[in-house]
Amino acid sequence: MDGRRTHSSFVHVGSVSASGETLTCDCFRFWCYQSSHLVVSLSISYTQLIHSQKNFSKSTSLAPKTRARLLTALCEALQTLSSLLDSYNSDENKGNSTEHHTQTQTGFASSQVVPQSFRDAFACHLYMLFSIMFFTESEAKGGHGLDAKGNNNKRTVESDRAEASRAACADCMMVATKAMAKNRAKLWQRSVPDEAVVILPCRIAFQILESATGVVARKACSADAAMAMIACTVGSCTSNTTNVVGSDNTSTSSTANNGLLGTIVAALMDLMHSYEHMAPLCAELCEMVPEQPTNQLAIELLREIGRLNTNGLGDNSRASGIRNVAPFLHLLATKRPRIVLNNIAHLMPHLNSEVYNLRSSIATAIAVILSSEEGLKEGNNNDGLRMEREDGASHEIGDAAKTRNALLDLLAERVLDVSSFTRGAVLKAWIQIVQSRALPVDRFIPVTLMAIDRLQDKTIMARRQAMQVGKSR
Amino acid sequence: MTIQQRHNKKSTFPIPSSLHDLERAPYNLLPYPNDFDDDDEAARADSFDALVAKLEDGNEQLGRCGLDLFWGGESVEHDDEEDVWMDEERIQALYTLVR
Repeated sequence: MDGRRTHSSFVHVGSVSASGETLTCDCFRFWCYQSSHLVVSLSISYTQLIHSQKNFSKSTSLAPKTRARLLTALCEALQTLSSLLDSYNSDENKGNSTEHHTQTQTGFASSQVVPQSFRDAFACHLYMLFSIMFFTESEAKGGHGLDAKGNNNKRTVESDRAEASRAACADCMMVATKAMAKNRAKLWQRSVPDEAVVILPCRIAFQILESATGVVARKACSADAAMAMIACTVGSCTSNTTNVVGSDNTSTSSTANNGLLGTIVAALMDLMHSYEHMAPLCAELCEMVPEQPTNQLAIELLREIGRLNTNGLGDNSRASGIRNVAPFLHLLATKRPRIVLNNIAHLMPHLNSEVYNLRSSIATAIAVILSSEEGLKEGNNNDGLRMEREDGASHEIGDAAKTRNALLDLLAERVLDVSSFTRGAVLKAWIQIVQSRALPVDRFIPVTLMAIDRLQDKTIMARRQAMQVGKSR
Repeated sequence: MTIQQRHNKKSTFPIPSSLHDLERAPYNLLPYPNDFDDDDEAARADSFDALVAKLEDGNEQLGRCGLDLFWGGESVEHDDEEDVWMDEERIQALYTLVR
């Protein structure tokens, strides 16, 4: 061993998971060899170890200039590989006689798929970019990056530089995501993607979204690009499933795509449970996902919310996760009322759940559906409305008025909810319906009577809303 | 190696579960390349710069030759000696810089 070399090594024993990245270690030993003398061997606590390991990542501890060059080189390589992938088909690359001969012999169109060495190069560069972004996000989350101590000018310069480098990485990751989504048939045989590769942009996007707590943070961490990455991956899942229908590869490809979609939905649900700011972002994400043939992401999320077990969570602290999820329902209804209307059956059991936030959110979502032009607004010619079922087929709603009445009845019933917060939310829903002129004429008197009755409510919040219902027109 | 075999060749870069897994099989990368000079801070910085320069050279080659780099000229006879763009040296450089 070189006596002058300062050498560090980790002994890996245990394991811990951090946002999909596994750090395996239990005990850390730091040996310092200097002039052939063993100087010190020490162990440090687990928390310190994680911190040390993060600080030991080369990409974050390199000189700023070298780091910038590394990022540029990595992004450039990935962008070139992506553009080569895009142009591969038109290239008729190696469409020489040997290739055609092989193709004819095997009956398999191997010329449509890039060589394994290309796939490896693409995966390797994508993984390295992912790792750099992972370290950067961890550093930013730990407050070492954007909130570095120092004078204001220095901090601003550092923040700007960090923001620019994060944006450049996110843009490059987006280019790679688009290339993978667009060229699945060229990248993998039978269009069956390697899930470990395809999910990489989403994995980093989830970590970025964790930090997007406000408008400023959202811009600083390139949350818009992160959402675009997820939307692009989801879009490719649904479009590829549709494209291969009728071919021999249907089951393999759709299984892979369903698995990928399932992973994304599970991760988003987990994020919504953990972070208050995630519900609006998820609703926005559902808006970004292509609607054709169906907005599978929104449907799957609604289905997952419908499956949530809310028993025994009344005033329990465990309900906080579900409280974070609840706003997603009315936010999605605002953006895509038709999707929520089509899948409202999944949510109905939650009207009897113990978490009042869910009940309030469902009531608000119903009000949005009833008062929006795209939904079931009174006066719209919805009788011939076609509703898409989950399997992509469609059926006609015989009588939209019937659905409208059922939802209005539901709201009328909920005005007597056990929770004053939900009663207030329901009365607010009635205000919205009245103000958007979506209330059927035959409901004017019953709603007025209901509002008068609620003026006797025991909470001021409900009484105030009831007064507003009376005043609205 | 026929083209079909080339297509069916097993991946040499399956996505690892953690970055440090790259130091184990099948990747067997080192924290630093064998010729990495870290006698002092200046030498260390130069070594890192050299690794980045290696990546930049590779990028230039990729931009110049495009997909031809991955088809390796289709020479069946010189299979073992085929010139791979993403060789062990490049992966090692990437790992040392990123880890």
